[in-house]
Amino acid sequence: MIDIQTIIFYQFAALLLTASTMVVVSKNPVKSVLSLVLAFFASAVLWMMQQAEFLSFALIFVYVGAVMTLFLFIVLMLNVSTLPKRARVLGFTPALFALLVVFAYSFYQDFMQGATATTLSQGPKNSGLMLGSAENIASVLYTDYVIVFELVAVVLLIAIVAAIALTQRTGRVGVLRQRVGDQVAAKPEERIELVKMEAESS
Amino acid sequence: MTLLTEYLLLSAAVFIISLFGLVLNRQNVVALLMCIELMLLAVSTNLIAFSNHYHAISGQIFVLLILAVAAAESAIGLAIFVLMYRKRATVDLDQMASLKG
Repeated sequence: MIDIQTIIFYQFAALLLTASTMVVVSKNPVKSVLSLVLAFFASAVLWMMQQAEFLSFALIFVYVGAVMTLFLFIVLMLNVSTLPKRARVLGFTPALFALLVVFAYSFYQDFMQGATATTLSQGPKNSGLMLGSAENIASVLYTDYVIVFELVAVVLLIAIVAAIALTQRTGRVGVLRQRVGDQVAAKPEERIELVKMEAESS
Repeated sequence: MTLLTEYLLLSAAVFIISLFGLVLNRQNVVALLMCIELMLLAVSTNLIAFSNHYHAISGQIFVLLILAVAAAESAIGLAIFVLMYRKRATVDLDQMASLKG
């Protein structure tokens, strides 16, 4: 009898693998973004099964809610037919297979032969809560990792300022540019004045 | 039941798939960014599996930092990409060869 967690793991692992393959091989970038959303949902379920409940919700809220929406906007902004063609990949395939073999061998060395040391310090023993609940994460994040937390805040602030400074169009002095709003709002009587006058004979 | 080995194999497989995607889509900037996001997801899955295995919460703190830094990275990357599309009207990386000697 296989227990229910194993069944759920294999289902969502298959979903994650399928979705990530679709991200890579799909020719339509919109399909690619939506497959990435599916991959994030599948791995949120997998993270929840590893007792990371706060992070799995943060993955859905931050990534699916904000970052993937940003990706979707960017993909929809550009013309899909202008996307470049695929690069040739055949020359890299042996190197990728070699890398896969290295990964598999290191897993075999480390885990199949029972080299799992449990010398790390044990986590909080808060009974009744998951390991990754918001309370447990906050009690560590705001005490031991508070400097890192502040640094991440600075990084996010820099990201906001950089994104706005890169993409804003106005603000520089002395640059001539088209003002579409003014052009559309212009009325004919502001631009040309018709004057009636007597015909003159020379 | 923690399924540690299965989680590690799964995240290695996702990492390899996204590495393959980096090579396959190396002319399209948006696809490159998406493959990098997928790589970060694989690494975070690794950290969370180990965090549950050792019952230590530090790994999840690192995953939180990875999420924040990845969000910042994709925001700046997409801003650069919008700028490039506005100047060149394409996203082909082969045409970004102005600095090539």
